[in-house]
Amino acid sequence: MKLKRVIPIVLLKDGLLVRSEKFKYYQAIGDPLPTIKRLSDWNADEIIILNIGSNKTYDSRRDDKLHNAGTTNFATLIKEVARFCYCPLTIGGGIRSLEQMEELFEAGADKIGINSIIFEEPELVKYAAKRYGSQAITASIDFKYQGRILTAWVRGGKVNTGVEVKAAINHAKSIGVGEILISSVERDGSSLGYDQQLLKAIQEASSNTPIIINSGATKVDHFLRGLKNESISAVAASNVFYFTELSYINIKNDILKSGFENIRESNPGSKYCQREPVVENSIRERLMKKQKEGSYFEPKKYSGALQQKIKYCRRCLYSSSSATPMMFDKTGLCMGCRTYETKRNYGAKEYHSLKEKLKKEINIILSSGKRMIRNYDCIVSVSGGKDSYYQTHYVKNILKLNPLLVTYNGNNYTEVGWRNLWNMREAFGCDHIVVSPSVKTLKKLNRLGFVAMGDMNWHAHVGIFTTAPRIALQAQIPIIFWGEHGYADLCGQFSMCDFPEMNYRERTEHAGRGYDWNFFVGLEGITEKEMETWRYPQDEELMRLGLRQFYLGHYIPWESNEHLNLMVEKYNFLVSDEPFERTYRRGSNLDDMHENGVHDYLKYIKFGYGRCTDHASKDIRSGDITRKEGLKLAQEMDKIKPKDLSRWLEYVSMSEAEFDRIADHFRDPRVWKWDEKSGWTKTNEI
Amino acid sequence: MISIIDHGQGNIGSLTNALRLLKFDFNVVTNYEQGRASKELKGFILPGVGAFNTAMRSMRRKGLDKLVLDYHRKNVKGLGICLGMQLLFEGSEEGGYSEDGLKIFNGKIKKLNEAKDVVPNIGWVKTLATQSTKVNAFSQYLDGSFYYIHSYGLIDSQNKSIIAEILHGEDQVAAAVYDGIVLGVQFHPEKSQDNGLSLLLNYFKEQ
Repeated sequence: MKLKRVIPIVLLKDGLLVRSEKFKYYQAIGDPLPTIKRLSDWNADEIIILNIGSNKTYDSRRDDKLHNAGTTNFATLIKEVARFCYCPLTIGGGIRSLEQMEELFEAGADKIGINSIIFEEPELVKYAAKRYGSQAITASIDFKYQGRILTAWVRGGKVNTGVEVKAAINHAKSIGVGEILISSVERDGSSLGYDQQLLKAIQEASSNTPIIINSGATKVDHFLRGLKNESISAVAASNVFYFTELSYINIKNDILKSGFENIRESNPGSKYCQREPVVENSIRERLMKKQKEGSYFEPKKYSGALQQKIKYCRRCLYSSSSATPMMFDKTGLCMGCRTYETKRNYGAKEYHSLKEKLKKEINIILSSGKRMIRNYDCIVSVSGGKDSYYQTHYVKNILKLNPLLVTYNGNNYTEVGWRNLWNMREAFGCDHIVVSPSVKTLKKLNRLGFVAMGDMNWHAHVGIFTTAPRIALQAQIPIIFWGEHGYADLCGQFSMCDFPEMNYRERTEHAGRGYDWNFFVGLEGITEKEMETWRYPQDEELMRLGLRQFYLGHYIPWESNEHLNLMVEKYNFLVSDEPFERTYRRGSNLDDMHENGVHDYLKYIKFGYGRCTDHASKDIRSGDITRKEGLKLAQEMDKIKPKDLSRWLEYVSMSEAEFDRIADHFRDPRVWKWDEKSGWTKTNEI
Repeated sequence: MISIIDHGQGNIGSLTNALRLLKFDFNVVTNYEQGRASKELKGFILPGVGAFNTAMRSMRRKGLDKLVLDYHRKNVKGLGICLGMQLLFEGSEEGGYSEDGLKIFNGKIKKLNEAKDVVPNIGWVKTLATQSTKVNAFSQYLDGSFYYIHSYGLIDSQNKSIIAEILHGEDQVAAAVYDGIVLGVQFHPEKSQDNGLSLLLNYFKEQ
C-alpha cells in the first residue's frame, strides 16, 4: 500500500530560513541547517527545500555559530544537508539551466524542483526529464486568482501565464515531469488551509501524476482535506513546522488519531543519527586554537574588502548586520517593527480571544486522562527579573494555576537580582527550585564558551532553556511558561497565527549558537556527567509527556516598562540603585551581572553594536523615546568596555590582554576594519 | 571493503553518506581494472537512477558489466538499488528491450500500469517480505515502509527470485529479489531512514 506523504517545505532566502506570506513578506526564522536537522530527526517523509532569494551567495552573517559555514552557496548547503538527511530531498528555486540541476543532483538532491522554465523553456525540461528520468523532476507551479479564475504564475508569483489548473497540469505532464507541487499565492502563510477551488480543480484534472498540494495548512483538518482528495499524493506546508516542538510528529499523530491511516507512522529519533550536533575533532581543534598563546586575528581578513554596506530600519536602530536574523519590507521597515505594530494594533477583543485560546489549551492539557495526580499545574521558568515577576503574577493570580517556579543559577547574580529571586517565594506563595551547578564546572564553561564562540554565557543561555524542561520531565509537569519571545520579538520572527513555543531547535540554534552539551565533553577535562545540567530531554520523553512550552508574551500585551512599575508596586520588586554602564535601562538582566556587561561587550566586538541598541529599539517602537534620543544613547553606550570585566577575568583566571587577543578573533569583517595606524574602525555608524 | 559500481548515472552521494554513517569501508569503482584491484572485498553495490539503456551502455563502455558478472561468479555479496536492481534482469521496456541487461536474474522489467495507480510510483510504500527469516536472516529488515521512486519494475508474481513485494494498483511489484549472492531492491535504502539503514547494515554485516 502506498502511503500518502506529509512534506515539510523549507524556504530559504539569501541564506536564511524564512517564513513567507503571500509571496510578499518574508521573516527570517534563523539558519537553515538546525531546522532541517530537526525535520530529519522527526523522520519527515521527504523534505523540499526551495531557494526563493535572488542572491547567489549565502551569508549567514553569524560566523560565531557552530552550524554556519559563513559565506556559502545553495549547493554547498544542500551538500551539508545530505550528510544528515536519510530521507528524499527535493531541491529547487530559480533553476534555469542543466548546469544548476547537475550541481544540485551532485550535492545530494533526489529530485529537482523547477518553476518558471515549465512555461518559459519547455524544451529544456523535456531534455532534463529524459536525462535524469521523469521521477527526478518535480514541477512546482504557483497559482493565483485573476478575478475568480486560478492561473499559473511564474517568476515568484509575479508573471501571469494565463494557464488554468487543468491545462497547467497537463502541460507539465506532457513535457515529462514526474510530479507536481501546487502552491497558492493567496494562501501562502495564511493559516487558512488549502484552497478549496484549487483542490477541486486538481481532482477534476485527475492526471495520474503524483500531486503535492501546498499553502495554508496549519491544522489537522486542513491536512485531512488534502489527504482525502483522491488526486493528491502528498500534502505540504512550511510555517507550521517551524515554531513548535515535534510539530511534524504531532500533526502526523493527530491525522492518524482522526482515523486517516494511510500515512506513515511517525516517531522521533534514529538509531544511527543523534540529535545533538556531531563535531569533528578537527573543527573543535580549530575553534579552540584561539586559546593558544600567540594566536591572533588575521589582519588580512580585516583589510576592509569584506565590509558590507549596512542597511538600517527606517524606524528603530536595527540594521542588516544585527546578530538576530533580520529582514526588511519594501518600505525599509524592519520585521521587528512590523511585528510590533501588528501586535500593538491588536485590540482588547483580539487579546481576549487569545487569552481564551490559551485557557482552553491549558484546560485540555490538564484534564487529559493520562496525567498523574500532581502537585503543580505548570512550571514558570524564572530568573527573578521583572518579566519573571509578571509571568508568575499572571499564571498564579490571573490564570489561577498552581505553578512551580524553576531557576537556573549561573552564579552571576547581582545583589539586587539575588534578593528579587528569593523574594518570589514570599511575594507569590510558590514553591521554588533553584538549580545551581558546580562553580568549578561553570568556570570551565565560561572560559570554553568564550574561546569557542565568543560567549562566556553559553552556560546561562542553554542552562535556562534546559533546566525547566528537565524539571518538567522529572516531576511530570506538562506545561512550562516562558515570558516574552525575546529574540523573535526583537526581529519579528513570526506572525500572530504561528503561536511559537520553546523547543530544542530554538534553544540550541539561538541560545546555544548551535553548540550543545556534547561539544564541551573532553575540553578542560569536562566529563559527560558534569554536563548533565545542560542535557536537554530526549524527543521520546518530550513526546510521552506531551510537554508544551508557551510564551505568555504571545497571548497577552507585553510592555516591559509597564510591567516593571506594576511589579515594584505590587510585589516589592527592587530596581538596581546603580545604573548599568552599557544600557540606560535599570530593571533588565539583574540575574546576570555580565549579561549587560562583558557578555554584551562581546556583541559589540562581534557585530559593532550592543544591548543599548536593543533596548533603545524596543523603546523607540513603544514610543518611550525618539529615534534621535535612542541613537545618541546607543552611540555613547554600545562601545563602553564594562567594569565587570575585571570580576570575570578574576573568576576564570585570565588576563585582560588575553581576553582582548581572543576577542579580536570574533570581529565580524562585514563590519570591522583594521589597520596599523587607526586600529579598529567600523562601518555601521548611522 | 564495499565497492560502489559507479556507472555515472545519477549521484552516489546519498549512498556514500549512508555507508560512512554505518562505518563501512568503501571505494568507488568506475572501471573494470579498478574493480579488479579492490582488496578485501566484502561486497559491491550497484546503484542507479536514470535510464536503463544509458546505464547499460555506460557500464559496457567501462567494462563494469563484466566486473559485476565476475563478482557474481566469485560469490561476492552484491546489492542492486532501484535502477541497479533492474539492470540485473534481462532487459527493460524502458528502452524497448533494445539493450540487454546483466541477466543475473530471469525476467524482464516493465512499465508500471498507469490505469489503476499513479506513475511514477513515488513515496513510502509498505513492503512485505515474502520469505521467512529462516531462509535469510535479513528478510526481517525488508518488512516495513521504504521509499520508492520508479516508473518501471518487475511485475511477475511467479518470478522465483522475489523475496519482498509491494502493491501498485492491482499489480504485485517486486520490492526485493535475491539469488543467494545478489540482493536487488526496488526502493532506496539510503533514503529510507532507519528501515533502510538497518537493511544496509545487516545485509553487509552478515557473513
